[in-house]
Amino acid sequence: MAAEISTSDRTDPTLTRGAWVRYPRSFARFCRRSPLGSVGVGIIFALCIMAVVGPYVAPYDPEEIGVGPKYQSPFVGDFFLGTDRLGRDVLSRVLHGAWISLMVGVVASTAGTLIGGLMGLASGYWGGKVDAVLQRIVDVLMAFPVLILAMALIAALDRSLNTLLIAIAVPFIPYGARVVRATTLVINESQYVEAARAIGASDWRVILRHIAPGCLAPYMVVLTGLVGVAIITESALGFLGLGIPPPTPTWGEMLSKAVEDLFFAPGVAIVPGVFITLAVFSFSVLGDSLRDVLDPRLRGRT
Amino acid sequence: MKQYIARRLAMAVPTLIGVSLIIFVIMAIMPGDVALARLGEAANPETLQMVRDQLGLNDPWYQRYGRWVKEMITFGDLGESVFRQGITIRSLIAEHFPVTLNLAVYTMIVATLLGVPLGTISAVRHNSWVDYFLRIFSIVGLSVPVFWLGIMLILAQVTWFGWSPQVQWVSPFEDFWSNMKQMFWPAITLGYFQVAFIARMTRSSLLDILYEDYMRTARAKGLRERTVTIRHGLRNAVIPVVTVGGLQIIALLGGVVVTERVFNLTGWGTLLVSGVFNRDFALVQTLVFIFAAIVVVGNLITDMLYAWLDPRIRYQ
Repeated sequence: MAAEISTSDRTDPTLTRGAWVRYPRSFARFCRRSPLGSVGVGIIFALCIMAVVGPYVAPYDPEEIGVGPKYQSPFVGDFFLGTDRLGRDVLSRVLHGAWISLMVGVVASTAGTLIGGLMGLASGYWGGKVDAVLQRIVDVLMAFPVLILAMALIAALDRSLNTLLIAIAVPFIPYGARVVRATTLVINESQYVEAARAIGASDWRVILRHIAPGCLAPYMVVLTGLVGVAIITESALGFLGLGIPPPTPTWGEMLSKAVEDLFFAPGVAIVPGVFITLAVFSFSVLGDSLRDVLDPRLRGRT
Repeated sequence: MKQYIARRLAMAVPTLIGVSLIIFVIMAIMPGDVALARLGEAANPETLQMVRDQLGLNDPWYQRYGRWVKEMITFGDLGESVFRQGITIRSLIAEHFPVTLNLAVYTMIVATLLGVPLGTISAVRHNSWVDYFLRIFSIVGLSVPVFWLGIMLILAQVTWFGWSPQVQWVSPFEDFWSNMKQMFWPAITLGYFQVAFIARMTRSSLLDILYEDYMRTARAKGLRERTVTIRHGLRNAVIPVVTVGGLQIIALLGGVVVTERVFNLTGWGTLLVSGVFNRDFALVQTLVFIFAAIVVVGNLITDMLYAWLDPRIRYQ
């Protein structure tokens, strides 16, 4: 009994209210500090709902050819966004494409930066030869433009969803490695790491319990920005005809024939691009706002 | 300065070797080979073996790697293309080079001519409606996919001006206006991202400087506002902009590939895409290496410019 009272005395009252109160509050603070960032969050939220719910509410089968006449204009008849060159429903295809775009964007960028992040931790913590070797790898990977390295990987492997994920993840490794290494170098010099070492904590314990959490904020900033880059890369590969093979609908693939069909069906060319732009816009704006909010030195700049 | 250049040069060499090794490994895991691509799936095993021997595909990897590197250093012909038989890879790459160079140069001109002034206006008039407009303009520029912007520009051209894309590329030295007519919109398409990028960098770095003490001093001694902004502000503000030159080159090269596809230009981007489709691995490996080498050299130049502009860097 007595023990209970003393613990509740010491606990910060805001902490006892639980996550359901704390997280909305810090989110509200984030929105006040960065209105543009909250617009980004809103768009991401809407796109996620679209990706999850979209396939169930899509009026037609996105892969079925000839559900309507070819090149039907938008807003007329049964096809809200019109139909494409094979008479497929554009709205259904856009809804299904949302899932692929967001999934590839999030998974590929997370995988790539996570591998890079682990490299960065090792590089910054152990330094010396480990650092020298890993940094050379990072330098080399950094020399490839993301899209071009992805194209080379796709050329070498077969064309499938897994290949696409690998092809987009690999070019992101150096970006994760750089930011985590830089942060690790700073934290490694801090007193609490020294204290942890002094009481005999193992290397792994220091890295995982004391250094990695400190790297999380800058890592999240970089990751959020890169999700947008991953989405744009996925759609660029789809546009070039190197993405997930048809008939799977993706936003990029929908645009690949758009130039030829421009005169018959401008809607087919306009709609997927609007969604790609929105997705990339929301993630890059969110990344910028996170940086502003988390790094007080940069506050007030774009 | 000489020492600094020598050090940076020495660091670029292992990077280039690493780049070539990675490309070589990626291409080595590629299924099928040139012999198969050339003869088709139905070829009999003995002929396949013979062609492989002829092309040296049965040699150990280090011999093949050595040959490739030697060919590149000595500007050898780099072998024959798979999909356009009888044409060497060197001549294919040389043939497609001018279009890409042309596009890149125009894009860089657009980017510098618009990016720096727009960023300056945005910073000087910050938090005004001009600034808000320019900031939205640059955020959009960073989000719009290059290929979609190109498609939209073509759509606008076709609907309003009845413009039709030109098929054959004309050198600017031959017929400047004809070249301009063809390359203007691709350069704008690719340039928008770069303009947005430079404008944003210029704005934020000029904003930092605008309230420095030496700016106040310059104003206090009665210099005109324009002189203060340009001579004292912008000259210092462009240094951070120069340092991200490497990132811009990366974005530019990736953008070149898709822009060429949208506008049907026959440059390196188109060549790379067709190489990937045709599994022409000798072509892809060399072309990818050239792209990466451009980035490495670009970074080198960026670092040197940075050291030249900011003497503190040289002595670190």
